[in-house]
Amino acid sequence: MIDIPSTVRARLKETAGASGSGHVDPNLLTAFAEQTLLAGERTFVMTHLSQCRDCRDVLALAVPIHQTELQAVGALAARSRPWWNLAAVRWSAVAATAAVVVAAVLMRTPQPQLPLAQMQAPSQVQQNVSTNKTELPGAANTLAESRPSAPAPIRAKQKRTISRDSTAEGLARADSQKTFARRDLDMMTAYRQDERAGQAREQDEKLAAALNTDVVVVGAENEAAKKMQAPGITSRAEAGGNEVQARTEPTKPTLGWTESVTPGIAWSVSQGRLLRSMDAGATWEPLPVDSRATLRTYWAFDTDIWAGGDNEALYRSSNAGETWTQVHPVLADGTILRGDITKLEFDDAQHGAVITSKGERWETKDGGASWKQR
Amino acid sequence: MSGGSQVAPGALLVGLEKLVGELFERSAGAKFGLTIEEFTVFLGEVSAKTLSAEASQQDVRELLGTLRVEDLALARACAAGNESAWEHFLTRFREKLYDSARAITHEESQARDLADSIYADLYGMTTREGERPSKLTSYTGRGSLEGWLRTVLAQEFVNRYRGQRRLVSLEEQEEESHQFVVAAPAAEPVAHVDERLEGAVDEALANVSPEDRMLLAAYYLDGRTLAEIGRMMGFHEATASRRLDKLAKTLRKAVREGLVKRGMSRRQADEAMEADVRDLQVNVRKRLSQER
Repeated sequence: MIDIPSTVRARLKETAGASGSGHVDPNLLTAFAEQTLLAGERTFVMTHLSQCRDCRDVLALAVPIHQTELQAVGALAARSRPWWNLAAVRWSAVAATAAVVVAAVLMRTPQPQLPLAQMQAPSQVQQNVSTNKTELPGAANTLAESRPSAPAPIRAKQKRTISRDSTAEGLARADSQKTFARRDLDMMTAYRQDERAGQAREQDEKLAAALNTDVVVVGAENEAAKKMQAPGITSRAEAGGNEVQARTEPTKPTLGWTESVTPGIAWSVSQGRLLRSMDAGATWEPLPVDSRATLRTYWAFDTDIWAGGDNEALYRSSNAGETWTQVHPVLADGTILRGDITKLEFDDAQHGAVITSKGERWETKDGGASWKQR
Repeated sequence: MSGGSQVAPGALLVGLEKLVGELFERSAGAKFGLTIEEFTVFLGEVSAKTLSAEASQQDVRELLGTLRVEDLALARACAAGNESAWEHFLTRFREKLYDSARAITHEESQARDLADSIYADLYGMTTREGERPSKLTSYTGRGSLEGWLRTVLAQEFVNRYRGQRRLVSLEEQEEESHQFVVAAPAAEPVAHVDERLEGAVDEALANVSPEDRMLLAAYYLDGRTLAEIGRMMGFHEATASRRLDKLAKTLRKAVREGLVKRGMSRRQADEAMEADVRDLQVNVRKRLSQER
């Protein structure tokens, strides 16, 4: 990164000041962190923060890692870029052109065959996957795992897989899924505006190295990528001409966990999975809520659990996670909740609210049977 | 942006009785023994603290719309000593409070100590003249109660840590002054900064927005990582990186142009930017202390 002149740094230090005579009220600081300040207040708070080291330290400590990642994702989704944003238009055009070219090439090029040992029938794929307790969505070949929201040391052990399917179908699927990793990739791509589309793969590899993960490129046209082994991938198989990978399940929380009112039962969420412990946190098991869902947040009280995550994923259990019901929030006028669910706030199993990445708040008073948007 | 002139707490809510009623219902304060009159007083206090007497009804509506009324009702019911509210509060926040303390201190016993000290303040353990002042009365519902608790924890931690650091600095200063008593200390060089340089830098920094100044301070003064800065400011670390790069380029360009405008050549301007004479003072002091 380009550095600022040392004279500027020195002057900044002189004028920034250490702890001033007053500090920002915790209510305002919290509202700043949660982005609920009124317009004029934000400028005031920002000005103070630019001058007060103590308040910056408080803010840095007060914003939790997990929530702020969700916040950043939510804020990014909520900040609708104008459709005429030049960078977005440019990259959309590049992606569309690439998709057309690749589709044309694919129609002419025969599908390469993997060695027999690696080929399995789709039904076998499903079976293999289920033994790993992972059920993959049909012939989907684009898996983008959530980035575990964990302190720095954890990153070395938990790798994130970025999938890049450059077929037209894969691009469309990745966009529609709105996965966290894809958004990361999009942002990084937009940041390097001088990269040409032809260098996209090299770009992914650099990104993967920087993020301490492996790139798994899925797509019939890329033989070299198929040979790449990605840690965390426990099986490879071919189904319907596309590669399918199973991901490892988390075996313990990377964040904190919540103890239920019922002694011994505890809950957490890690790598998109809801974890349950029946022995007060000694051991953990990922629950099969819905294999397609990437869960980010939960609320638990006694045997009542609500779990929410990407792409409107919302589930409820009233028997400590033994069985689950998917909940689809719909307003009286037929409006369906869209977006990632980033937070759950419940008073009890019946009364609560769901907060989305778009900043929407949907409330229920009857356990999810009916909803109102605040 | 607190109210400039004193505002009677209920004055801003005149004409908004229906909205207040809806908010009270949403807050479920009644189950904790709160009355709508008490709730109206809370909302009035928050409005008066935030808005000026000249605020329009629309401004008040906007403010009330951002409030976490459920959390506000719970907090105030706890502050009033409602046992049911406390049970609810403990169920929801007890573990989160300790988790947050652990995340802040990274050490179990310190976390316990920190969380317990906050608990005492929240519960209002100190009784004065029959009252039980609880810190929860200062919660205004501007952000979530959970977030407010984390902020309060963080503030307490920073205050304790700063206090300890000041004590340590005092000890270090005493040691240094003792060392310098032995031999006559060399006269400290006085740094004279070129007025043109100071003017150009001040001019460049004056055009930086408060948000960008905070970005600069957090990165260049506090040494925070891009990820931390992104968390603090609500955007992705890639955005933080991009903005800092752009800021650095803009500042360099602005300072260079300012110096050229003040009579320096471009080469002189580049040299002046990189060698800050204030740094020399630090180096000399370091060398002096090492020689002892």
